[in-house]
Amino acid sequence: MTQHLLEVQGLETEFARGGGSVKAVAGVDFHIQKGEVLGLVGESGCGKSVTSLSIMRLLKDTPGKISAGSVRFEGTDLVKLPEKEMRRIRGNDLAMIFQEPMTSLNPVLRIGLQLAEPIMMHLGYGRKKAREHAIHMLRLVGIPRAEELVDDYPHQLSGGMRQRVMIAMAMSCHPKLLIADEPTTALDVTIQAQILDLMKSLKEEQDMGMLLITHDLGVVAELCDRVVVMYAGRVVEEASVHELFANPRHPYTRGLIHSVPKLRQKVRRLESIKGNVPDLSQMPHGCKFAPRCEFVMEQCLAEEPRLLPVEGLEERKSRCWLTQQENAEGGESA
Amino acid sequence: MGRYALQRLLGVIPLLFVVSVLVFMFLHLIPGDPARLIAGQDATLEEIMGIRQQLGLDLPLWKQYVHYMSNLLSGDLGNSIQSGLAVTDMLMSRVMPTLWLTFLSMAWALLIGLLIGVVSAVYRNRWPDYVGTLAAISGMSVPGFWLGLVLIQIFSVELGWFPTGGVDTWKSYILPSITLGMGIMSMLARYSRSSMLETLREDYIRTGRAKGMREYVVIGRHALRNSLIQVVTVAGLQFGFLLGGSVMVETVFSIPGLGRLLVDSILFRDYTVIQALLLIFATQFILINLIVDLLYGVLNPKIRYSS
Amino acid sequence: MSDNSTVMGAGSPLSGEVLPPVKTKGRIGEFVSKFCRQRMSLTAAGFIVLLLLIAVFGPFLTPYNPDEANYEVLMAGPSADHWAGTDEYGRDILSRLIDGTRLTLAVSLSAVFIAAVLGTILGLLSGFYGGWLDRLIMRGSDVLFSFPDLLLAIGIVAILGPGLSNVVIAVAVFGTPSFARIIRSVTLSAKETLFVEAARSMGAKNGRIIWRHIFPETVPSIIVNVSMKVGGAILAAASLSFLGMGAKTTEPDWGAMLSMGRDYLSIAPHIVYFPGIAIFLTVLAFNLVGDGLRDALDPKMKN
Repeated sequence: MTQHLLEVQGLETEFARGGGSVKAVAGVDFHIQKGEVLGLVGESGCGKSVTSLSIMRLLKDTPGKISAGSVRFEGTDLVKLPEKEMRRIRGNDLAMIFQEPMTSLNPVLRIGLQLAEPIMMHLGYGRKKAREHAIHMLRLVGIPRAEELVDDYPHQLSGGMRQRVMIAMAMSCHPKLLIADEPTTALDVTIQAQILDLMKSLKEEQDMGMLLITHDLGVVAELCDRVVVMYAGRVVEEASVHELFANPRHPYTRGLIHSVPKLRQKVRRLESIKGNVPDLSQMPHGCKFAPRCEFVMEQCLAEEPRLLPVEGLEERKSRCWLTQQENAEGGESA
Repeated sequence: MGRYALQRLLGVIPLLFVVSVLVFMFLHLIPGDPARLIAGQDATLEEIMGIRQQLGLDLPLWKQYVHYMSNLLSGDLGNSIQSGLAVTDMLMSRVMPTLWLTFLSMAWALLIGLLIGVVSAVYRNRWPDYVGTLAAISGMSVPGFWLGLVLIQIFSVELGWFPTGGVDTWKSYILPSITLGMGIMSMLARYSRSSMLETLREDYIRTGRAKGMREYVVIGRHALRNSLIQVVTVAGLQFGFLLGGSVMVETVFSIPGLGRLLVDSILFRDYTVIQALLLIFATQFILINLIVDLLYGVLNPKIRYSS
Repeated sequence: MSDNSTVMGAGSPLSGEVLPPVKTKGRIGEFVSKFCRQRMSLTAAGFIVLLLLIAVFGPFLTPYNPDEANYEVLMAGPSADHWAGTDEYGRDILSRLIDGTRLTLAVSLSAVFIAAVLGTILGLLSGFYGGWLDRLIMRGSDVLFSFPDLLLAIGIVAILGPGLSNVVIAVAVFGTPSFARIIRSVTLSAKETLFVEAARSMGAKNGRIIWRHIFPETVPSIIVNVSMKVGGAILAAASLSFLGMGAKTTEPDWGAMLSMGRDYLSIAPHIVYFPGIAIFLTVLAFNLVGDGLRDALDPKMKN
């Protein structure tokens, strides 16, 4: 049995709210293999970002706290790791880029210093060598005039350039896993495509794994090998990217796919999922998706289905009574 | 930066003009005839007329202002009604103690205020925060002159560590600076706390942590630098508070500075001196705000590097 | 009553409770701290009520006649007979403190009240009518702001002459611009809200719109700012009295008592200590209440 690069098991993250607490992440399992790109998909508020922050243990200054589960990174459980050792992994083997390039860089520090910080820290380079490495990284992410740009401040760059800087920063210590939280959402469409291409080529060059968090299925199709769909803090479906688009099993996934406009097809109106993600403190009792589901059955309201493998397929899971019924029927007839 | 600085500099001019008009009008705002007030109760009509002419009060108002301004620009602030000495000379000898006092007060207030604010923000809603907040509100509520008296009683009278007043040694400045800086320290502590709390919620702080930076680097380099811009601005704006307080503290500690002179002049109704002091204080206040504005430009790269 | 409920919707404590899920501080921590501060504010409020009662019933509470000299106990320290000791004329300091509560509170409260009324009127006019009136009022307050508070007060007293009533005027003048600015900004946002437009379309006169619909919106801000300004006003009035520009030394004002005691600091420090403590506690109480009210009533003013 090979060891996965990242293995998340039963991860729960609670947020203090009012007097009590709510679970923003309620038992999430998935894994990423070396060099693999896993997409984490769902509407906003489904717990994707909290999951990524939990993996990075960046919940400080939020009311959130990991309450159960494990996050094994190359076999080490990050949840139990002392802060000091966690710091050695962050930005080094495990790097992250964020959604908002405009606010994710410190406005009063030069780009060069911000890039050099992790390099000096993790690679132990001196000031001068770190600067050279920073310039090298900027070139790598396709920034022209890199040796001038290191002395600039963030406000002098466009959003796309800033995201390139963020990517350079994350890649600077050759991470084994890159977590990208909606890396292109805040950018213009043309810039989005450039950034995606960049990430794709970098990923292939560096042979690193990637956890790509997005609500954009177009980005998923472009970049991912496998996909995990999240809803209300839970994984509802897991599939290879091909399987997911060809044969979505969970009604929620189907809804997501149908709500993407297709270019060649002339669609009169976009199908979208009715209703909203339920508030964390007012979760329905049974299946969390039941109130919005068009196939809802009595069983769905009574009991929450478990995330179970779909018959006959590897790394294929669904959390739906419907698929589980099909499974059972298929099993009987065979 | 160049244009920004020029804008600020030009912006000060109308303000200085308004202040000069207000200060000029001061003599005319006093109820009654200033010449009669200056001359005293049992002055003869000739004496009053003499004073009126001497002060140029018989001229039309605008001419009086032009006269006043041309004197002012040549460094002539008139003579003291009380002592007959040139006001300019009186001021010169008293500038330094006040400058030292305000400078030292601001320095420690900024340092300690920032420290309390940062510690409160980092340990938000835990005991260091509560202690810091209570200390800040207390510091804001304590009457400055009373604090000065208590410090004198304890450290000068009882323990004999510091002189009770005057400006003979550097030690003389310690108790007055503590007294004068207390209020502003509290204000800065509260302000830097809320500013740090805001900054710590910024995305780039998370980026810093995601890079694996040590917490003190995240707080000291990434957060503090950003908060500092705002805190320094506020500190500068509160400088006027110090100028007002220096009047108080100089009285309590018998420091021969500008504030003490203001109190004495008011009690003796030495209007020319009061006028000059109001002008000096207001101008000083405006200039300090200007310096703060420029400093803000230097600290904030967004302004420094905009063309 | 109907417009009252609309008023509550805007800046009420309830709407402040709905916090976004992420990116806020610890909720339990926030609750505890809120409760703690509330408890401190409540204690402070209780203290202020006590002071007000003392101010009203002072003459019945004093153990001695506050003005009666007793040359047998000159500058005696605190004792069973004289809890806070006696002053340089042998007068009972506790009695003088109790007696002085009324004057001290009256001066600061009336100064802040005048500032609040003037500032609110100016702010309402400035915000509602805009245009040249707005510019005039705001420039005027800019000019007042460009003078340090206490210096402005000293300057005003220098013009008007010393005395408590002039202290009230001076403190009121430097308090007015802050009210004007705050009320102006509340007015500006209130002006845009729907119910004002509705009232206008039904043909209501401007004066009626301001009074019935905009003024109620500004009340929380006025209350918060009043409570925040009282502490400063007490300090300013005491400072002026201390400098000999406020209360006469014969008047039982806390600041004046301090000023008198100053000469005897080395022999009888208690003459200075007790009035100072009285001022400190009173100002502290008002500041704590102001803080609590700001948190509870006006979440937008938090900075």
